[in-house]
Amino acid sequence: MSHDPNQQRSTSALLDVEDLRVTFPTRTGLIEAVRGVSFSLGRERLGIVGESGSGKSQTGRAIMGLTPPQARISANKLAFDGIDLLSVSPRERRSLRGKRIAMILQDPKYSLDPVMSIGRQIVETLRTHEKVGKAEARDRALAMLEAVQIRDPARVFDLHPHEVSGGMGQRAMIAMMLIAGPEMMIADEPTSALDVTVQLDVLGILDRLVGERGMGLIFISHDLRLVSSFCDRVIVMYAGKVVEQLKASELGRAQHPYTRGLLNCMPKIGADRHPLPVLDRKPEWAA
Amino acid sequence: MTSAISVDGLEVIFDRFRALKGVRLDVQPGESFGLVGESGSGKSTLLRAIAGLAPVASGSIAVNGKTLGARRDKAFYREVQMVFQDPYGSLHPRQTVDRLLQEPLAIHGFADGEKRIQRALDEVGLGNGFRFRYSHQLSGGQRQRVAIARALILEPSILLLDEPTSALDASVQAEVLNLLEEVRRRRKLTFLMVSHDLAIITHMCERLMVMQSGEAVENLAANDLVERRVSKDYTRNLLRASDGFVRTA
Repeated sequence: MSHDPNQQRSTSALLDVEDLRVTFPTRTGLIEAVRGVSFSLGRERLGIVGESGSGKSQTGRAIMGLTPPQARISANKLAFDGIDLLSVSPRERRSLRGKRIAMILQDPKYSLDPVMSIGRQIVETLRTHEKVGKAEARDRALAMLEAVQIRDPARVFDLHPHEVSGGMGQRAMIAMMLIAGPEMMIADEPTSALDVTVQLDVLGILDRLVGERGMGLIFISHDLRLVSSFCDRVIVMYAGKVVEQLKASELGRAQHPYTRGLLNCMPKIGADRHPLPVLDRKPEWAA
Repeated sequence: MTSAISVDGLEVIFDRFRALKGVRLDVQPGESFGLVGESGSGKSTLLRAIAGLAPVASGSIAVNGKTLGARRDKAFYREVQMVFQDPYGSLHPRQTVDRLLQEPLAIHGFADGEKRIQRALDEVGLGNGFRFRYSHQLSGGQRQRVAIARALILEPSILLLDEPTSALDASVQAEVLNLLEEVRRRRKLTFLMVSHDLAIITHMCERLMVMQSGEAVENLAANDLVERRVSKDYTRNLLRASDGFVRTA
């Protein structure tokens, strides 16, 4: 099998997704949240953009293995570093999660454990995946907190999530996700709950760490402009499908009317457009 | 000309926390005025204080030249209505749209409810088909349209808008912003609008106030922002942040 030239190519990609489908059974029939998504990810920053219900988060969750149990996942291929994610045992999947694939969620208020200090949560992640002593784990957690530009790591280490601001919580979350040295990170709206200025700080930290460590990053967001200023490549999703893939630098040359509409309908400082152009949704986009 | 809204030396204190520290604000009739700032800057608190939803410790608030007391009377709410940020939380989950819209009419003793409800729904582009639905049967944008219809049904002259589109998708946001501009033009309304998004404020408002930790940082015309004529670093930071991420090599 390893003589197959296609196989050769895919081992250079970190993640290969081909015809991914996620289906939810409901009382009124099957809902296809993701309908045949294909892409591959190298050591780069890939943005997945779409509005609510476009399937962008379910795509991320399917890769991470966090799809709810009642949903059905199918794909021609869903491989991380040559490992077929659909056929591995739950145990192996668990060992990948957190160790080699990490995920940052939107709101640190809900995604951190409220009754455990921030430091303990980071140490817990580390010791789940690596055999390290308590003292060393603590040192590494403190170093990681420093790497995400928390000024007083020793103090923050002992704080609980409710005692820190949103920006600080999200930094702690990033520290927790990076401590085991993952090769791929999925960030699902990592800065949407933050103020714009804090948003940029957090993005800067994420950018630097991803760049330094040569990780692959999937950045899921509803904000097309933000994503294109941050990522190398952008996938635009609509109704569970990829409608367009393009380089972030070439966003201005987007072809699909949905992508163009999405770019156009946002108010811009200095653009005097009254009324704002609105999206005229065509049924064939979802076809 | 008497101001539509005039606030002076306003202090709001929650327990021991001073959320507003002596704020001054003056909004002319027919004007659209914006409040911007980061979370915790007091912009929403200012809006809520005007609506009578925050504990005012001192200072004065006047609407259309009439100084308000500690309690708002019915006449106040005929003049001033509010649209909240989260259309999922601001509509009663067990009331139909029709019931939701009847509530303010019943409180204020309007007889021509039927006509007003139809008109309000038409005005926000929903039509009669939505009248007997529950809010969970509506999308986020449709819910915000219902919230706007509810605010308009008493024919107020002032709308207080607290981040009316921040819970909505970008394309739906454009529709709701257009709707708000249209009703303002048609009814000659005064807007006081809160947003963290400078682009939305410059799009919707003529003047604005930048706020930080309970105080006004500066007052600007929307054009000043467009041409970057700002004097405070705080505002400059906000402007820079709204340009998106810039990689520092």
